[in-house]
Amino acid sequence: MNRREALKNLGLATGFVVVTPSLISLLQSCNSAPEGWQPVFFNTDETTFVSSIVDIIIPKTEDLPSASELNVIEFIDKYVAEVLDEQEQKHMRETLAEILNNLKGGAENLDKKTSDDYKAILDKYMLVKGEIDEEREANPPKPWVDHTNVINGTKDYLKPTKNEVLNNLKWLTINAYRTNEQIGENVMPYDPIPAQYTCGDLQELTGGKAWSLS
Amino acid sequence: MSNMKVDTTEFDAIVVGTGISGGWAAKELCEKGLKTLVLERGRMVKHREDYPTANLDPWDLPNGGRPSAETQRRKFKQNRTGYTTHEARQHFFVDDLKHPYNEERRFDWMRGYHVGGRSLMWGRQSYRLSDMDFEANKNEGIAVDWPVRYKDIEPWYDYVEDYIGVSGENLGLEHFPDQKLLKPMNLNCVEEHLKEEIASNYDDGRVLTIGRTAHITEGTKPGDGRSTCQYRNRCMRGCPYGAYFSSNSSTLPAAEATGNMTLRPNSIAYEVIYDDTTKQATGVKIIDAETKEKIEYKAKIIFLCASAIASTAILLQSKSERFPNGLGNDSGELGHNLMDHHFHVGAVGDAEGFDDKYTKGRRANGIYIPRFRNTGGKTNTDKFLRGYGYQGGASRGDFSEQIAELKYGPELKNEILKPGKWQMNLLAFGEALPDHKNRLYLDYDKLDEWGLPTVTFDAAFGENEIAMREDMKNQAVEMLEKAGFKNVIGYDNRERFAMGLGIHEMGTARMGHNPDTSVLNKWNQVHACTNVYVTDGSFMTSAACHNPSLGYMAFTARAVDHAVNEFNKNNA
Ligand SMILES: Cc1cc2nc3c(=O)[nH]c(=O)nc-3n(C[C@H](O)[C@H](O)[C@H](O)COP(=O)(O)OP(=O)(O)OC[C@H]3O[C@@H](n4cnc5c(N)ncnc54)[C@H](O)[C@@H]3O)c2cc1C
Ligand code: SF4
Repeated sequence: MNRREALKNLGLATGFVVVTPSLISLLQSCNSAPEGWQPVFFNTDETTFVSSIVDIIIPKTEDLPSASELNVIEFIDKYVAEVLDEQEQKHMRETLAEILNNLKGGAENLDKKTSDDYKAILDKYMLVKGEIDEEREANPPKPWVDHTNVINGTKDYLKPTKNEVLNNLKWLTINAYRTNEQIGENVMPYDPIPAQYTCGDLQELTGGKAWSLS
Repeated sequence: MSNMKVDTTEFDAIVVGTGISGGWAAKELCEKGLKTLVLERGRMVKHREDYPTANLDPWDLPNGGRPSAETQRRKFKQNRTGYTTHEARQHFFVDDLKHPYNEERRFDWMRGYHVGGRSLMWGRQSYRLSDMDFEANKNEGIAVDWPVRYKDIEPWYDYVEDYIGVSGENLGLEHFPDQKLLKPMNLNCVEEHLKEEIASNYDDGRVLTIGRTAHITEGTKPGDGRSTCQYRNRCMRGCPYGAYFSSNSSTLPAAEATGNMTLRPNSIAYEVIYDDTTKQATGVKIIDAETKEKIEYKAKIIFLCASAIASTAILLQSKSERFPNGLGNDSGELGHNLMDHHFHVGAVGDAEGFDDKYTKGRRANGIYIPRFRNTGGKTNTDKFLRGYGYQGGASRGDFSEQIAELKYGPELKNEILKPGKWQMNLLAFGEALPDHKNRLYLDYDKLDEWGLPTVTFDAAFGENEIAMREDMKNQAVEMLEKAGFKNVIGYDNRERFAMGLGIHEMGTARMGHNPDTSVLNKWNQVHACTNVYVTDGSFMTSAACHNPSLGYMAFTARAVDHAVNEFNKNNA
């Protein structure tokens, strides 16, 4: 099973993800969640973990904010709370716990972890194209049998592997970032009423960027 | 029944349903001067006012529009398309828990219960049947012959196209008739390239053209302020410009303007009342969806336009001594011959050499390659009957490919803001043959919350369709490869999808010459009860291979013309 399929099975396909409108007191600290914000789904460790890795995935650069500056964590937390069903949430939490245990080593909590520790976890477990997810190989999804599940509205739940959870978080981070209002209206070219459909030169049309609306 | 209220208003006509066919019936009846009651089971949806998501950007929608767990749970059948439950449009699709149906075999029944029906969410692709289609059953000895030929319906296609506005390009092909078209939308550069390649690589008559779609591309059209398309691709949410055809923007305002229409939302029609002394229907029984009150309405003409499955279910429920198996069901064909188009087969490929090209605007339309199989001469094959067409198009994808090997960091961040590679998709839609075994029936043990029987489906695509799919895939691969596309992959998702997903369900009250083998005559009248007209997809005697709804409009307008002529004769 490739990653896209895995994501689909988990109900976390790549499209359409967004940050909540509230924009942002610029938060400098690398692993802190937005001030005054209470997570709906994530517990303390999970919040620390996710808000740290979103800024590793999308760090601050010269001209553009980091993921946490756009409250990506708040988006992801709400997304997991509202889009995943209970069983999917439970599975995600279980796998996250495995990742967190690994990260903690013997430590009580995540207080002393540096961004290098987080990177090491991503380097180890988050796979990219061409790499094999051994955890998944050992526990492959059941082959499609018939339409019974579809008819009854039931699912063959599949607990995500560490790789799958980390890749889900990666895609959620990217999509949340890309469809954030700031990025969508001011960074990426925004064209709400195009009034025409034409083919043209990429540089002339958008300076090489993708349109924010599709 | 004791709690039945009888409404004493004398209507000339009743229309059941306000979707594509019901809107047309309402407009035509009202414009011809008939006092018309229009019954719609769902809530009111007013043009513009009731399109709450029409102008929302992704960041305005919860979770970017991803269906919530609750939406997925309540709309688990509507969710099967993968796109209809997006939070920007799920409010136009039914709640499957509230509106259940049963499946002996999987059937994907995608519905919208509200004023406008699926005219609000349809894909707007609009093509005509040709004599090749009307004659196919007869020539091949399949099912029954259509009692209609192209010349009968041609003026009505002209009429509805002029009114609604369909854009596209005429090709002068006999089996794919020219239409009354507004200026075509543009192909993009990759599609132009494929078009030229197909023209030079094939001499069997296959051509690539822009899709013919019910969008206004120049000027305006009658209705409620209908103007030119702005290329926003948010059609399924309802269009504030009225630029694509919907009942809400076009036919219902026209009916309203006559002063002859009484529109009653929240009215679930469940029975056509039959009077054996006159051999005519006298009215329709409804249940108010909210108060659950039962009311009987009387009229001289009944138009059933509730969509194929729903109109068939109403007829099946209309039992009397004369029609113990449902009104008009002397033939036993009512509920049978259920058809849809089969798809989820075709090919994709990457276009190289266009990296410096991009598009402006979001075109809610794609390409079309009209049928080129079994159209005569060397296009004929003995592997299957009938044929298929391709939809699809080229576009630049997202960043996924560029970051496939990147885990995190500034480089990834840079890439996610760029457009992806150009990809071309050819998606085939094939004709399915009518088959008596493909059917729906009513389950009186499983009642809905209004105490009405639920629909059970028992249907699947057959051998001819399966044989056709091989060719649908292979030809797509070949066309892309010959045109120089890279990484061409053919696909056939046959196992995983089911009938219904084409959302072109039809055929369950078919037309025919003979009352022993069909339900409707050539004017869409129930053979044995001629003041009942059925003009939604249930009348289709065969399916052809393309999107059918334009035909429902044309047949509806023609049937109203016939009905009103009869009405005036009787009242003269
Ligand atoms: C996403 C999507 C894309 C599509 N794309 C295309 C396309 O590109 N081209 C094409 O030709 N077709 C397309 N279709 C199909 C098209 O929408 C239907 O063929 C068309 O709407 C059928 O028209 P209708 O009038 O028969 O039914 P509908 O438009 O479905 O309207 C039926 C109406 O009757 C009402 N009703 C149902 N039961 C009752 C009852 N018992 N009492 C009272 N009222 C009742 C319903 O609430 C509804 O308002 C698409 C459909 C969908 C959903
Ligand atoms: S693309 Fe055209 S028809 Fe569709 S919503 Fe936009 S303006 Fe309306």
